[in-house]
Amino acid sequence: MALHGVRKSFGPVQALKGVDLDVIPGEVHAIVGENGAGKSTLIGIAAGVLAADAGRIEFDREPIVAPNPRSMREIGVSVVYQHPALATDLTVFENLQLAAPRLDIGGAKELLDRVATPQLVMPANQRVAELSLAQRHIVELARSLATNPKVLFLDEPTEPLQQADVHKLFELIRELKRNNAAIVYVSHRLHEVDELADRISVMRDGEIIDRRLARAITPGEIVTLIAGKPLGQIFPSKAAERGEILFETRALSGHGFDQVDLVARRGEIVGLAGIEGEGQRAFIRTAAGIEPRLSGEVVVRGQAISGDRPGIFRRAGLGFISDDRHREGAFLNLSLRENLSLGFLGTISRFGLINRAREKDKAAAIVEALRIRAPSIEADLSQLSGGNQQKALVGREISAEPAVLLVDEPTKGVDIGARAEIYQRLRTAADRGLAVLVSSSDGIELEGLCDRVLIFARGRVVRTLTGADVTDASITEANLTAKVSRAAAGHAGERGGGWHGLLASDHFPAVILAILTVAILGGTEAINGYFLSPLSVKSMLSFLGILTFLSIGQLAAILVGAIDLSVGSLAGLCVVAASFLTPDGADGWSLVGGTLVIVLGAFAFGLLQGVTIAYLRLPAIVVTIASFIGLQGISLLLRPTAAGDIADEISDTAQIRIWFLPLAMVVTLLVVAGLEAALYRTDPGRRFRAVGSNPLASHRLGIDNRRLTMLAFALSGLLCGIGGMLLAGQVGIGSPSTGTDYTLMSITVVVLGGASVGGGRGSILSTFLGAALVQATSSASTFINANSSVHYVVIGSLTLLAAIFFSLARRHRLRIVTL
Amino acid sequence: MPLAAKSFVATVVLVIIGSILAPSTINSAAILSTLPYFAILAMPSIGQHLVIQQRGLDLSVAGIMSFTAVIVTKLPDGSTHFGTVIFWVVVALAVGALCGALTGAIITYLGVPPLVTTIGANAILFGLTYWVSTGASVQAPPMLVSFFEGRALFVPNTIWVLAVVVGAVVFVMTRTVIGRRFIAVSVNPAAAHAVGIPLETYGLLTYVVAGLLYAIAAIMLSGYLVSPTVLCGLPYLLGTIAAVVVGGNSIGGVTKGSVVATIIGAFFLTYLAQLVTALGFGGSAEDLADAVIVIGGVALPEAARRLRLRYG
Repeated sequence: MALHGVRKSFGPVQALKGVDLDVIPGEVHAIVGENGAGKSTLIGIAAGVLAADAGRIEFDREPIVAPNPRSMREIGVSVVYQHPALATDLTVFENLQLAAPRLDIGGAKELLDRVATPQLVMPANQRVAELSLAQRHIVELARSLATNPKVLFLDEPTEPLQQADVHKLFELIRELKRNNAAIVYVSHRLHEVDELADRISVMRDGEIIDRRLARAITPGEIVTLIAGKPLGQIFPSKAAERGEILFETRALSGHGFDQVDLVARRGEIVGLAGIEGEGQRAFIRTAAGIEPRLSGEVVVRGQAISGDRPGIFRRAGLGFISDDRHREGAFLNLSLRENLSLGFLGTISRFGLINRAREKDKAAAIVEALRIRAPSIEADLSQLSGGNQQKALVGREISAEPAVLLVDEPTKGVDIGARAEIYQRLRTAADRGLAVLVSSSDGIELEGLCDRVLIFARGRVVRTLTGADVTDASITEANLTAKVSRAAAGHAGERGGGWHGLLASDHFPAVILAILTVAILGGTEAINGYFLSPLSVKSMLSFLGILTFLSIGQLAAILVGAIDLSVGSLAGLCVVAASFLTPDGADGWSLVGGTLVIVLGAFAFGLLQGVTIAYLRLPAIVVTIASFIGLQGISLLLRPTAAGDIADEISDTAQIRIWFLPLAMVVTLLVVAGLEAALYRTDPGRRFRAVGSNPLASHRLGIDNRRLTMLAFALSGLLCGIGGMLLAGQVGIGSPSTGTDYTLMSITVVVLGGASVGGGRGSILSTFLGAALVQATSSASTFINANSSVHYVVIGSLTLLAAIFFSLARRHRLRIVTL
Repeated sequence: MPLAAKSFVATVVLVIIGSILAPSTINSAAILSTLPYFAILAMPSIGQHLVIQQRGLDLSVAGIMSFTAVIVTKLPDGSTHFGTVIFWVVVALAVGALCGALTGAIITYLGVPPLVTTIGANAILFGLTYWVSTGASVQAPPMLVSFFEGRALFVPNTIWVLAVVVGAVVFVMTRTVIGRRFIAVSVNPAAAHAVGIPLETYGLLTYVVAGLLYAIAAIMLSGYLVSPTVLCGLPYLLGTIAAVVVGGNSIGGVTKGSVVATIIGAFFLTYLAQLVTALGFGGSAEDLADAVIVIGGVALPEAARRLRLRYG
């Protein structure tokens, strides 16, 4: 495989500036470089996930036209991503099947045994969401091997792994190499590269600046190549003197670290090092108040902080810069001025009013001091390069005048020039009387910048390096000899069975719903003996069929992470259409024809909606709410008032008895069973769930997200058409307003059925039982009290209660309020 | 070009087209009769705008408006006593804010998606509206009718009320710390959290203010329509979202958004409705026109953006 002259830009940032790469069978080709040098972008292009702006890709000397993740996988290119491309709502086995549909359970187990050490091995039917980070990486590795690739890219594969796991991985890589696979190994861990690589390419600022045989280059040379110039010219000189204690943690514990005591003095820069996931990042985030602490104290200038909000920590004198600039640092769509002033709004305002002149002056002063290159202070932050964005954040935090500055990965994705300026700035801040804590995965950075370095392992500080010991080599060595024996496998074991396992199951809601439905039916029957009379049951079953079809349509949209508010109006329009196309007195064939026209029409409308949402990328809510109103408008235009009898044959056909159930119900049950099997047992079903669970991962796995989204809406339209015809049979007249309530009811049903509103999780069977519960409740409430107001209140309350229940039950997920 | 300017240009174009197709729509009597409807649509649209800017969507606008309209019509029961009317007006405002507080609390503290929360709340509120009103519509107190049908300095009072609210919202958004933080939360919640802004407080506050604005709109609507129906809030479900979208604001935060653009969007829709009626189409055609415009309103900017991306 070969890449020639590959270029790629993201907005103003040139990530790759014409890269050539040759990948040769039987060889391990290592790519090294700093964060943001372009390594991951290069892999994305090789895997077909990103489209290159220029350049070409060849495989077996054949040029590849319009690569996509699927075609690249099929010709034999596989990638182990730094952030595993897994659908977390699916099981391990299902994730493996997404890559290799023909894999059976035996093969999956064999594969997992091949890549996992005993302490990381997991059951194949476990949901990925319940796995530890290290286990996910193992699954990622297994997934990439499931297709027997000829070319394997590994992007920082060892980050969360222990030494034994790393050895196993290296064995595996050597075995692949012997079998003549080509391997591209991306890492910033030089000792690993040294151990594995046959050839080494060094990347810097989007270019490969050197390429040599591994034996022709020394680690020292690599370091200088990566950094771009001798280290002495990049880093400022270290602290001359240290003052009093400004910052202290006393037995601080949080998620991922335990009982950490740490002291930072005025004027010093303290580094926190450790392998990814050993607790240093969790520690610095908790010390900044971003993550909740479990116990212990954070002390600033002798004052212990009480409370757990970032605001309180800031007021106490802490500043924080996150490692994830785009997610947690920058406000990309706000101007540079607004980004800066968010750090010190308190000092430029009186009685809550902002003094704009002072805001501008202060922002301009920061831009000047840090030499931030921007068109003007009114330019959006997104127009600045990564380095200048990071400088803006450093400026914002320093100008807030904290006592202690906590910086997580100070130069991630920052070019070499800005890097030196940021180091200089942090050192100046320390010299002017701050204490600075820096967490970094870059040993060279820690060596050059820090006065002291603390090594984290298993969530504790296991070593402190001071003075001449603060070197990249000793940091790496300390990391490796920290006798790491994390309880990685423990996580999964704790959560697997029992109550939690039941709650987490996709089919758990079904049991509860069935019990509740029976209870409501029984209870109402006890109050009023006519409730379960044959006539009443017949009507209930008819409406249950209608509600089930519409709710499954809704579920289809929700599974792919969208929503369909048009279901009710579409079914309503079907009723109106039925009063024209299948009127009373029409002959048999025209009834069949009319029904087909209506159902196919609904399908076509769903397809159209799907195209609009998937390919024009319009928000599903807006499109379907507009459809909801528009379709209702059409219904009202056609039938301003209820008129036009619908042929009795439609309801008569639906009521034909088969054994003891009406035909409509039999069909409903068959559809439920068929779709449930399709969703859980077939390849398309898995893809469907993967799209909603994690669109990015499913794209990387070569799933066509847009096509499946379009199909979901088309399916929803089809089911609405069938449900609408059943409804027409029940209503018997062209009434313009019958369907509208079904939009709300379908959402209630889906939420009750335990589907995740964000997509990826849901079961047709549970949805059916949710429909049964809603229908039973709705029938019961109108049976006991004919007032329609009660009906609305009951359905609305059910929706809210179910949504709250499932939200609390699945709370462990990150919570940021989104649509 | 800023959002407000874009939607202003679009509106001017529409009015020019309208003046050619149906000159009767731009005489002063027609404009004066359009303005109250515009004010009544613009008011809840501001609330919807705030919610959408905070990455939410409020479908309970219909329920809150219907319910608070019933509170100021059915409960004073035609009273002419000043104190009684004011009492129920205050109750309506408080109920609006309370409904917003409840949905806001469920969304921000319990982590339920806004769509599901507000769709459920909407159903409950419609149930309550039926229950309180027993289905029939009642005339608003004469005092409200005369105030909201009245004019001061040739301008309808509804417009004055709108002007005060818009002034307050724009001032808070552009000049105050609260407004700046509100915008920060909407653009990037995680980063706002990291700079110490309490997300939950702002999330909750958004829905409270929105609920309050819906209640104000419902009171204006009651006074202007005299006897609002139980379903009087329903058109505002799509109407408010349409105003935000036509104003060119993006759904789901991320960009700053412009309240003024949303208000211009509300005028656009109101004038369009009047034009559709003047051209001889009924109420359901208006629904269709709204639906088409909403989809067009989100589709055109998106298409334009992609063309720009492709052709530089």
